[in-house]
Amino acid sequence: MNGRVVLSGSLDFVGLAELLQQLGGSTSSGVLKLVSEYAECPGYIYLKNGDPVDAEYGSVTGMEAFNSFFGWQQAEFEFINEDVARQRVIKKGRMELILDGLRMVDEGQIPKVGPGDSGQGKSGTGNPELPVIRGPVVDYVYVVDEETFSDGREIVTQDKFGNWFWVILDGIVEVVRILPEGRAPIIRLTEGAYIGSIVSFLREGNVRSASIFAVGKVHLGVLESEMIAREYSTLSELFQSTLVSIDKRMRQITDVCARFVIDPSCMENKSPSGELVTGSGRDEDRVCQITTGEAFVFIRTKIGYIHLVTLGPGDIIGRIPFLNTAHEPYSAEVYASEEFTARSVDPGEVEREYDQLSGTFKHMIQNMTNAISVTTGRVFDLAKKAKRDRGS
Amino acid sequence: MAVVNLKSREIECKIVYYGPGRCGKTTNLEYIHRTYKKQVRGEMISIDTEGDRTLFFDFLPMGLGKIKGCDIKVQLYTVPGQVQYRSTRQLVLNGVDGLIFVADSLKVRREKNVESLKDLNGNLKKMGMNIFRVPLVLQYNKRDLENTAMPLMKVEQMERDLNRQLRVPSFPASAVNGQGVGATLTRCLKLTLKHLHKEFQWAKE
Repeated sequence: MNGRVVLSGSLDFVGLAELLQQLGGSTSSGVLKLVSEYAECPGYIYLKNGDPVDAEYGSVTGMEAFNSFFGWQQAEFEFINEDVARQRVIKKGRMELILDGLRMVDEGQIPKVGPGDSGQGKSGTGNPELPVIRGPVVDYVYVVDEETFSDGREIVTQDKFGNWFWVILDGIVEVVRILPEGRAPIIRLTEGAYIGSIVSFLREGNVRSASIFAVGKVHLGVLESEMIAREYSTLSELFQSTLVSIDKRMRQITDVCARFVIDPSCMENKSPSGELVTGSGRDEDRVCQITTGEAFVFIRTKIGYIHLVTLGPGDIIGRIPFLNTAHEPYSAEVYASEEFTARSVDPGEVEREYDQLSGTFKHMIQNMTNAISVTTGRVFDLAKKAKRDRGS
Repeated sequence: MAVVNLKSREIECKIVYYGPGRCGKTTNLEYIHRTYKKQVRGEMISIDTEGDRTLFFDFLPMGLGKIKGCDIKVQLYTVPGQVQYRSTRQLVLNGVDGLIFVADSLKVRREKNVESLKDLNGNLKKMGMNIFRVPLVLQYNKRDLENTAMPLMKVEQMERDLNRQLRVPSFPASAVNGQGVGATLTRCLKLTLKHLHKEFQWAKE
């Protein structure tokens, strides 16, 4: 570095966000060096005409390094004014980078580097360790009525008939699967999340797969199920099967998770047999619909392979971009049974249809896929805990 | 605090839309970005924050003149309503020059409006600012729902709830179709500039 230090100070006085805005406003070029006693080595942000173009922290570079610096609470900084020859690896605009970085800090995605933070992890009562699913902004178009439930009230009863949908306007509910061996709390839902499966009206006399309880006072919006059913009926056969297939995954994963919650000792490595259809990054663009035979979805956890879901004819395998279930091809592996056959599906076709859907319908689909990925995440966590407990 | 940029001969000031989640802050900004294209500089930045979005873009107000030969550039922001977004809220509110509080006319959101206004008051205090002194305009949004079955509060009731002590300009609006959006912003801009004149003791032109 042959430039000179033109500005220095403490990040606990001027936060990184303010500092970057300031350097941006004066269209400065140079290197911002950060040194913290809580970090193993110094961090560097390279700026060209006020915009961050690259960052470096040890062997980590680019966006990953840049974002991590928002977690540095106590650090000294120096800005060295010089021409920067770095390639532009970070391509987003300055303000977007700053706002996004702070959002990730607030959402707990960026670890805080500094003396212990006391404001972390405070949420609700009861089972605060359960993951919470929040939905997007509530679209009032489909809300026909509002209902309030007091703390502990059962909103939906497992194994009872019902196909009403609700959207949570305020408060938290807990999804509990009840098994003969006991109660298994699975996840929590809060503002903007939906109660009720999008395909429940397809099943004559739909049976609820879990019970749902109010945690504190809960305010729900009752949805116009007629309109949702009507929108569903306009969908292509392929899109309908995709939704049914997602719902099937959700139900089976909930069962698996519930069993492990009640009895962690039943978590065992079950190595998959059969041919690998997709997974571990293999055939990552392959999307298909099963025509004969079965497919088994496995995840690889700390205690080995766990069988999550069994899919059959009509079900969809593979990654459809807007359906982020966090399963195959990256986080789960799919194996085929002996008589397995499948036909290829164009994910673009499904995606185009998705784009045409109403906001509420889209949100309900996202809600389902979020629940799948979060419940799967819980299975991973339970496996990690089981491994730790067995080890000690 | 407005920033005077001598290089570009611009005075940059910051106007923030505040209000409870889902009240229509984002819709206000999206409408402005769409409708006043010529005055918008650069892209609109949108950050997905849970249950809400944080938006930001630069805006060049027309017809408000110059201050000491400098153009006026306004940064328009929304603040994420959820409590957890502490850092984002702090950054956005830091150095704010003018505020637009968007209240939701839906009856069920009455408490949320009051809570959010209190929250704004608290946040301003933490930065050594006073809600009675900062340029502030209220907007009673979602008036278009008056013709539907949704139970709405009357404007008079909202005035009593939110503006009894503040006594600031207020506008009924329907951000989805743009009604009242321009009027709210223009009033806030005028108040903000008047305040800046006073703050820096600049002679009125």
